[in-house]
Amino acid sequence: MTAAVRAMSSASILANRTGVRLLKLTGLISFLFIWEVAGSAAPAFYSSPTRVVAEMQVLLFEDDLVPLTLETGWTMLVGLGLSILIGVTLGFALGAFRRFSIAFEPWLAAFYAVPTAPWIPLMVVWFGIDREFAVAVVVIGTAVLLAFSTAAGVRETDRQFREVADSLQITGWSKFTKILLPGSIPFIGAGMRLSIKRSFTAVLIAEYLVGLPGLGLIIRGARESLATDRVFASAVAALIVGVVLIAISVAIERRFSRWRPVTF
Amino acid sequence: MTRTPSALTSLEHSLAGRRTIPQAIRGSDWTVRLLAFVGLLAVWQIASMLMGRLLMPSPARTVESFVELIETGELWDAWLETLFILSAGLGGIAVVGISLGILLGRFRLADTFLDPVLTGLFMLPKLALLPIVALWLGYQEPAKIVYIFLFGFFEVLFTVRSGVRAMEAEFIEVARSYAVPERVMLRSIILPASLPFVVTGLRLGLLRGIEGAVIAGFLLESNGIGGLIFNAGVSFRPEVLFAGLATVAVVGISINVVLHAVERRVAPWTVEQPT
Repeated sequence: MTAAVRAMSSASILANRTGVRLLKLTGLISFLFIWEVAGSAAPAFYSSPTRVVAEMQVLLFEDDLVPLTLETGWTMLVGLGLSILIGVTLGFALGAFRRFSIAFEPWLAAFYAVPTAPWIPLMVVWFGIDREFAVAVVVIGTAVLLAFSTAAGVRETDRQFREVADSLQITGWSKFTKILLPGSIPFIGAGMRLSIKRSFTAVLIAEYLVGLPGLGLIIRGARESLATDRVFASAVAALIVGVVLIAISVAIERRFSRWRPVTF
Repeated sequence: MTRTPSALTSLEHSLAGRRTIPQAIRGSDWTVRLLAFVGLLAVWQIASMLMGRLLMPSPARTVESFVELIETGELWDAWLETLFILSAGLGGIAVVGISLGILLGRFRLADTFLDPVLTGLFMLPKLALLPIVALWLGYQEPAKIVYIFLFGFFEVLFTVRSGVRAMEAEFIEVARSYAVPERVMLRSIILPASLPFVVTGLRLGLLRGIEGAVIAGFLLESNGIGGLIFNAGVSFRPEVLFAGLATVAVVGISINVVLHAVERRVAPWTVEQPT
């Protein structure tokens, strides 16, 4: 009997949007409530939502959260720009030239298997401790990813449109600009979404490691002070920036694939 | 909501564990590959001559340093430490990730309730969790294990959860119509059917866990392979950096290859199409 009641009630809550939203809101509020209670018992251990809000104001108005975050964003932007140039070129070579892909793809895949973080010390050795090295870290972390997603797009487009292109005798440069490039743009967009996520983490770690001004430096400051409120406030700040970046990357991906008819 | 092409939706997962080598491996292909590899080595050698061996050690110097690292036992000790915290972290990931994944996949009410907090934690850049972990657990093994857990946990949780959700329609309806009790359903339907998702999730989680272990070695107590790489950078020994990076690559690739083979073994029907 209880199982039936549970199934019915859960079905009725989950059936409509308002029910789902209310349930999520309840979950969030319960979490904040538990956090607040735990925080009031042991503030040095858990901080608390109210304390974090207060500390966020310090971060915003006294400790340059916004300009530092913009520094991080600028590094990502420059790095991703370079990465697109390298990755898309490489991706087209991989996708369009079978021999090239046979020769180099396994080695690129091996390179891709290494996470970004271990590269950071090498980039410091090569580029010093200014912003250039953080840009290089972004390129190391995302160029091959973009190359692989571009190559996937080129292959998929070629597979779909090869016969049409052949029968209309579209070859060479015009096949590249009229078919392969537009066809692979949604794939590049998807690669961009992953790249934004990856490069954000990479830049944060890079900034943290060498103390480069940016959001990563704020996190490092929190770690060094071990002031509980600061630790949690910097995490919440990073979460907010991360959510904004996810929104941006989803928008980019959607914009890139908007023209595409929803088929296959 | 824009629907993305189906080939795209699998892109993220296929990128996370690429099997790029085409299915039909031909002898001549490998000749081309080895030639390309020799070419890359030559470029590396030339680069080391141009940049100077202080910045760019030659391939020979890297191999030499690799052998030295093995002889002194440095590399072995570092990886032993890393593998220890990695397996502890992965054990936690497996237990919590799989059970929570199955529970949340089964019980929508609990899933919806926990969704905002889990999504928030997932979206939180993992670096920002480091000060919290350090605050609560210090900077030695326990902290590192928890940090690795946080890196890989969500891969397992989300993969298993979506797998359990997807099977709902296929198997559960049939089981329900035969009035199979919940406990039997869990043991004889849901657990075996979610195995392929468990393996996929563990593979992705393990790869993320390696990254977590390296970062923990950078920023918490400086040991393990992360510490080795970090100290090589600090003491300006790029040849050690290269050798360390190469071992990370080898471990990453091995995990991918082995667990892909396991995936094909436990669930040959779900193996993705070659790209």
